[in-house]
Amino acid sequence: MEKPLLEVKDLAVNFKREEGFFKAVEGISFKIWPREVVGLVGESGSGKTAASLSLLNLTSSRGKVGGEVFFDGVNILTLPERKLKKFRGRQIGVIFQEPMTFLNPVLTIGVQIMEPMVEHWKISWGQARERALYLLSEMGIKDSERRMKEYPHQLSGGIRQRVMISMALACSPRLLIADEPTTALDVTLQYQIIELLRRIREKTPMAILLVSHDLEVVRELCDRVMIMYGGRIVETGGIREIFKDPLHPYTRSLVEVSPSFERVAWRLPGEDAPFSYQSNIPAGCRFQHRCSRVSRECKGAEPSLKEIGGKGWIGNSFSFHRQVRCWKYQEGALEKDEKPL
Amino acid sequence: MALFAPQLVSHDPLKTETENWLTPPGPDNWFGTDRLGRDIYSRVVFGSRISLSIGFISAAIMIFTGTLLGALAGYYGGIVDNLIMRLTDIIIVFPVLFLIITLISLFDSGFIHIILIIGFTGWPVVARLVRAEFMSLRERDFVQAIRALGASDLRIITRHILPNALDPIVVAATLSVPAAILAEAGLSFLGLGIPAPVPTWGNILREAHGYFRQAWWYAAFPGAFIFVTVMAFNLLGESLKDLLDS
Repeated sequence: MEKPLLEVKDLAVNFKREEGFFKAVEGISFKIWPREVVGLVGESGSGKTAASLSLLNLTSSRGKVGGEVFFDGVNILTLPERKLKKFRGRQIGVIFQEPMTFLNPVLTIGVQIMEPMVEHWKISWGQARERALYLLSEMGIKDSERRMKEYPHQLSGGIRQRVMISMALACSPRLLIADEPTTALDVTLQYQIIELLRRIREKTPMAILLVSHDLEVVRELCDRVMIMYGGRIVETGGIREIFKDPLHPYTRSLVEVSPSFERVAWRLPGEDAPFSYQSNIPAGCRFQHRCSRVSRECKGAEPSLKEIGGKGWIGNSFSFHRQVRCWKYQEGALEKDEKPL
Repeated sequence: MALFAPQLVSHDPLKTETENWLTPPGPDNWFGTDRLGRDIYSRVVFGSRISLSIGFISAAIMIFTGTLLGALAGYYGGIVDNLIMRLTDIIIVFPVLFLIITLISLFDSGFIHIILIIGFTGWPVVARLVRAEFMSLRERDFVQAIRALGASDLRIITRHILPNALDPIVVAATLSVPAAILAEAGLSFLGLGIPAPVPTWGNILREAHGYFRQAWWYAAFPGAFIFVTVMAFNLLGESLKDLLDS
């Protein structure tokens, strides 16, 4: 059996605030296998972006990352910055949300696509140019020769996002982290980009971690999904199971209102962002204030992430467990309640 | 003018004709002559070579040092930032003239020394400016993006942040030149600049000191040149600033 490409153990991200540390991500563990596409879903403030960027220790200087991240067996969080750079871009590519602000306004897009290749592969600019042209045409950009000489402000949003993707793919990474790759785009473009990502995924052995608040985008692309709430993973499972039979009350509310996922915050009582201060995090289950099925034990202690049912399979080589963090599914809880949700 | 000085002048700027001392401006000596009968026009023209080169070279030193240190401080922050900024604070709080006088009495007042001293005292302002610019650019999304793709610090600083910070640096450069010219004129006027008989605008002013009543032209012409040059660079800098801000 193959080894996991990425194995995250007990990942934690703390942001330094004036009043102490704020735990944006707490105790997250997961694995990503080669060729797998995994969704990481949650609302704003759930810690999903912090979690994905911390895999490469890219959180801003105020963010402290704890836990272990094994990429191909190497714990990359303990590597010195100099060695970590060799992973960024080369082994793990990143696509960001807003292509305008994530491209350098004073350099042509050609230079920006070629740069990672020159840096990592130590090839000449001429060779890098060949590949950049190839990448751009793969992205469905016509006239790539001319586009290479243009600056970000001269391009439309869709093209910019394609350029971002080309940059991330330039060195053929083995894992692609896509942080809300479609959020800043309008709906028609969203689907073009989703199609593009799907084509890339079929063509290359690359694994993708898709971070999104949009369950529909995740459903289009992913094999497996992890739902985050308040810095914790609350449910994981295969994409079909999650949609057919959501277990956690939060997931359930997400699936019910999908595709207009953004309205969840309206439908759920309580604040928009779960917890902006450490003192707001309640004892017990983090979802209790917005949960319609809240009971006594939810306020006592926090439930653990519990494996439910048998193994699920991706293709026929990777197995995974359905997991949920809710008192309704803990040992013994089922008997007390008349039925599970 | 400074480039073609030898072709533009009618007299040797160093040649003394004591019998013609302090002649008023006339067809032969356009700006009159000085106390040793030297042609003031020729001296001002040749003086421009020294004054302007001191201005440009020390401005270049200010910009180079200021940009380098400001970039390091702004990009890395933390201890590096603290050290560099405390150093600039120390230089800034020192009364500049006092510092320069001390330095000059320690070393000689040769051409190179003057340039180095003016450049050395001028860079902290540039460093602060560049630091502020780097600190804001460092947090910009595109910097994060290239960092995520594994770019080295050197590449991020030189290829990605510096070109974005160029506007204020260009303006600072244009404004540093007149500051350096003024500094040189001030030093020379106090007798701390390039030693006589080499003509610089400040040197001529210094010699003219004491002759204002008898010979107005002696001080007026070099003074006017300093004024116009400094003014021109300041206006250029200001309009560049407006142009680049819009």
